[in-house]
Amino acid sequence: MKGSSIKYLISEGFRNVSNNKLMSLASIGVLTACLLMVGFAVLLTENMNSIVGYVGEQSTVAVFIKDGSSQDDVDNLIELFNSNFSVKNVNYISKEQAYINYASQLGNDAAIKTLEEDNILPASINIYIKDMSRIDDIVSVANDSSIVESVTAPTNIANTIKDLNSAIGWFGFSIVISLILVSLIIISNTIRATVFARRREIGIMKQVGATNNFVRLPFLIEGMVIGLISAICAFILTFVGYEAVVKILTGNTSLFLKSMFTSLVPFWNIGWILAVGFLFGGILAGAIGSLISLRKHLSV
Amino acid sequence: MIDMKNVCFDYDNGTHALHHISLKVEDGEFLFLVGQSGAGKSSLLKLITCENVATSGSVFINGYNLGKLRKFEVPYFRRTMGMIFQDFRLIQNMTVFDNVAFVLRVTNHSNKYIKARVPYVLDLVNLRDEANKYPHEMSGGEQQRVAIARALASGPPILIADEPTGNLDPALSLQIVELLFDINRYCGTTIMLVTHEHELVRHFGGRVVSIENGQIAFDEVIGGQNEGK
Repeated sequence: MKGSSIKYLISEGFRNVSNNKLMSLASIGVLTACLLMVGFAVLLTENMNSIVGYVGEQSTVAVFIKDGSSQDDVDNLIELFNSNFSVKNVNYISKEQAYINYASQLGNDAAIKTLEEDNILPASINIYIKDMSRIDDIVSVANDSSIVESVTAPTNIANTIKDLNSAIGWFGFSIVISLILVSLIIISNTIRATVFARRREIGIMKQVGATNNFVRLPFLIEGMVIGLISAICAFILTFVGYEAVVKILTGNTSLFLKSMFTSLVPFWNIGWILAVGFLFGGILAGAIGSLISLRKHLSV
Repeated sequence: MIDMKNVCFDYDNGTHALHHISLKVEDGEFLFLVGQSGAGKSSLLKLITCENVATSGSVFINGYNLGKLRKFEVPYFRRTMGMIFQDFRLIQNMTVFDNVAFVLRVTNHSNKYIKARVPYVLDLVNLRDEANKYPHEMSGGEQQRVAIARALASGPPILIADEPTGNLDPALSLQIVELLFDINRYCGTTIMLVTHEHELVRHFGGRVVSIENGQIAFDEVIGGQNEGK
């Protein structure tokens, strides 16, 4: 195919979008709606993960050290926790620090004075965890140490969060996959209707000696242009919609919910991934939809 | 040149459409193909345009053996013939110019050539001033002339006209067939005109092939306006 022919066919593709306004609008509408649903499903999953992660981050494992343990043993244990990939942060609280913390919470009364003279509060290590599903490993490391008096760990919360994470993962995955499948079916049917309405035109092209590629290219370009327009529309709508929802959630709720909703994922954290996904998804869906729908009509 | 030897064609459902057809059309000839509905005219045309392949026998057209033609070669074969249909088959959202130019774009001609060639063929069918109109803005006779211009655009050696006057009134029908005779006479294009209008055939005369029940029942030159021209 010559350069001038390719140029002509590409311009035909663009011209077809405006020549077949109604069908183009229908295709753009359907494709935009499909991309929007997929986009919001992705955002919902990401945010559920983020909120659950936030709740998880608030929980710590407290390891209480036996009185009389040497500082070297304590440092070795801290080092052991620090080297664990599931640990986000380790905070050592000495007996003296424990007293100061306790005193600041309770006030400076006689009982506290007694405690100052005979400090029975143990030294402890607070462990902040990245991955709550690994909390049992950390508890078992602590229990294996000879200098550890006792361990308190929010294992119930950890199990709940582990289950939630897994459920959200599956929910997100299955909803996105189902939406993509449903979208592909709807898109291919819409484009099939577009192509069906122009089957006569395709037949004429074939009868005057057009090769399959000559017929395909304008339809391919048309599908890609429709995909591109849909991707842009879907992206703008997702951005505007998401920002509005975030504003409502963070604007007028209780302090707890407000603090939880501050962990909502900022749009631009995944905005670019969504933009690229929409562009590829939209253009690919338009192009593949056109090609699949054309196949039947090319055998003239 | 069209050369069909002992051609049979059966549809998938078992219908025997054509029985042992042998037909030779020489370069520059004008031929009327006549027959009642269901006689086998359309089946014969579909073999000629390579929409179907003969069940047995051989079909040679413009140097192509259609029995051995591979799928990717079909478009290139079709470019060697022009087609005119009863329903004109113009692309409605293209102007007259673009409809005619389309055939040339298919055959990879340059824009410069297209800009020179299209007005020339539109001139042949007296439509030079209508180049920017859309088909729906034209009468049936004008649309058929656009279809003829399109068929002529790439200068094919053979032109197949399938009931080109079926949608036209008698006066326009005469004009269209007259135009086809002129093209045959002055351009040397081989023309096969399929029709069921016997009046038209008798009026013009020439070689007439009649198909009945899938067989050639009659292949003679009859007298008429064009006899001996």
